[in-house]
Amino acid sequence: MVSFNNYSNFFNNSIFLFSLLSNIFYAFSLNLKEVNFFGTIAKTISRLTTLSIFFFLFSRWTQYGYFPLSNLYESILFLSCILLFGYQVLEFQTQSSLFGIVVLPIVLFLISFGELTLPLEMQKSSALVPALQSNWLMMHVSLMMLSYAILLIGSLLSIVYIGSWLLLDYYIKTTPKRYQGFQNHIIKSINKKRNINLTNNQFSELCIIIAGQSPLNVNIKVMHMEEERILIDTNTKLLSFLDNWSYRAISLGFPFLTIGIIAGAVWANEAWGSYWSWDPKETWALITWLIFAAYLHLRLIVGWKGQNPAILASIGFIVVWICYLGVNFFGQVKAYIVMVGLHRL
Amino acid sequence: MIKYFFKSLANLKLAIGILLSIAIFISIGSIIEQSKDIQFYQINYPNTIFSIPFWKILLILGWNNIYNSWWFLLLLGLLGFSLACCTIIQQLPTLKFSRRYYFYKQFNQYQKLNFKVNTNKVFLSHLSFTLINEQYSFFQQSNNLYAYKGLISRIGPIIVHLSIICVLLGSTLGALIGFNSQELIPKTEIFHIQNIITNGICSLIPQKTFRINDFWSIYKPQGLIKQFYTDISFLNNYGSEIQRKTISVNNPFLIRDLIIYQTDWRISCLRLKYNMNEISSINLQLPISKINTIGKTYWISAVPNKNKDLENFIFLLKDNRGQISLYNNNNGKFIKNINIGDNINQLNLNLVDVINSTGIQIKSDPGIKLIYLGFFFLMVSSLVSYFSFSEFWVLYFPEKVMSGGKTNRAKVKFNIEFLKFKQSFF
Repeated sequence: MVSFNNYSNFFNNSIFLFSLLSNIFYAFSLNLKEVNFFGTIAKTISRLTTLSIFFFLFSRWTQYGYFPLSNLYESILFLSCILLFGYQVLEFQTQSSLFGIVVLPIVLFLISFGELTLPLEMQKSSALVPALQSNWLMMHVSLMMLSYAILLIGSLLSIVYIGSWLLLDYYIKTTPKRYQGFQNHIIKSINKKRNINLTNNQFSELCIIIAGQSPLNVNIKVMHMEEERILIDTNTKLLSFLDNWSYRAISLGFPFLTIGIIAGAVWANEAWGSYWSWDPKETWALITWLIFAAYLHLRLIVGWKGQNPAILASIGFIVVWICYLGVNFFGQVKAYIVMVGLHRL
Repeated sequence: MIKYFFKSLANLKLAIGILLSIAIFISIGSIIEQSKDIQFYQINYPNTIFSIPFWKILLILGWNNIYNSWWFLLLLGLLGFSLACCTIIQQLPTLKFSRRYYFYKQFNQYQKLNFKVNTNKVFLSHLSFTLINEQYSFFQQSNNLYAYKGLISRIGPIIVHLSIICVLLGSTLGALIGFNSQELIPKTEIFHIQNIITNGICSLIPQKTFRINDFWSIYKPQGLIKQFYTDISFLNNYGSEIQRKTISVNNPFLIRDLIIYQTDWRISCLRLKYNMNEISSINLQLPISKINTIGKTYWISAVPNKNKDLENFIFLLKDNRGQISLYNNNNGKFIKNINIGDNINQLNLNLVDVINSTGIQIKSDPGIKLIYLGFFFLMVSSLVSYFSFSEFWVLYFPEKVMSGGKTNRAKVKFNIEFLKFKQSFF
């Protein structure tokens, strides 16, 4: 037993360390784009994290004899494992390190919540009460975790979309102001060098003269705008990339959520004869489902794109978190525990 | 007028509005505790809004019982109607539309497509070979060609809507004529359905007779309960057995429209035998009470003894395994563990049995078949919606060819297919 504790400690520490390191290296690779080295290290370490979580869960499975989703701690590890795996698939498909930068902080948050704040008693695998010994339940929990992970990635991309959209919007709005600053800067430097006093109007006249004389018809304003246009173009491409992948992830996660909720309802009906009892966990799963259903209808049928569905998906991000963790802090959740403990009479 | 009404019900924005408002109401329902008495709300929500106490507003709005309030049920009904209208008015006609292979005969129709080719020659035989290879169904009419693939994904959303309507109808049916009762029955006793927890307006409670033949639990080595079982018989009016089954948690008993679930259990009393002398004896039943401490449950009882000179005992039971711990009532010290059949010290008391009761739930839900049907099709159709519906058109003249295609899901895959089609154009 002691050896097992030691070895689960070892896994705990290494998983935490790996996820922390991969976060740091992803941050480095974001800021130092020209150094490939950091990106490679970050990717390798995040692969290591995935592997160690996988082996840890697998060893718990063989050790205790039931699927490693019996308590909150295991479900947190399970969710992190799927999140890591999912983002790595996306990264492989798109060759973009964006997913890692976005997803890894979430994984770090999950792992540190599971390993640092959950008491040791809750980390231990506990025996399943009779109501939890059901194949429907296993299907329910694993599908829910899968859908949470995919929906989290999708809605997270939507949040990033909104962030970069606001930045781009601000950038476009401030274009004239920036040009003014640029012009002032040039005038100032000319005045300093030539020791003359050029006004704004004189400068624009001068620009027109220069543009007329130069063989390439170079206008300072056109040059400046061209530079801005390239920047806006790359950002617009990034936006449509984010929009597309967020939609794809959500439309993949949604059917899993549907089947997961249904499996849960079937299990509840088998276990205590009520497929739906409006307890907070069920309610919030339904809210998640409703929000993403609305999102998909807006995209597929109405044909909306961009920031409006993204706002809805960002709300969905918060709702998924409430559904997964937040509900545990609600007052009524004891009803859930009581039901699982089968002391309803 | 009526047509306009149904059309406005089928409006997608209305449906999305309903979805989001349901989401908001049920989130309120999960935050404010439901179905408590008035005092609870008075104590927990004393703050005032515009000098009206919040709990009063809460009760007037029906937020103390959202999930059963008339306006919430109305909202769900409205959702069902909206789905039905949408399916009938909008979805079914588009299905017909796509089944009647539909040619694009004008150039401007091709302009709207995402994927298009404009050339001056097409090798139709090569193109049709590629189309068939990619599993398209295609049709030709004079100089027009139309091909499609994955019609099933068009049916998917319709099935989704129909199955949600099924689930809503099923739950309405269950709420109207279903009932739910919970009984706590000592083993070997005969019972009827008596303790009704919930029932609908039109529920009929059948007067059927059941017998609990036995109840037992099995434990894991660590002492945790693994499963509990009830052997239950369904009797006819003359008391003879018709059907019999051993139920356990997650393994209910189905009798026609009734379902019997194993839910709870409890120890109700101890049966003792007092041997007065070698010939005569008295049977005693000792009541037992349940104590919940942190994370553990105990059952406790004592032997009343008026003779001060004899020992007083406390019985303590940890679980349903038939082992009892004896404690001295005077000093609280542990004496020994005894099992069923053992004698209790010098007193001529013999532990005959531990009588336990099984907690069972008897439910009738006529809507459950409809709901499971809905669930099944919802699962299937949510997988079906992964397939993409792809279409491809060609309009050709001796010197000019227009062609294009569109798809609703896998754009990348369609792009590859489209590249193959392009090879047939010159």
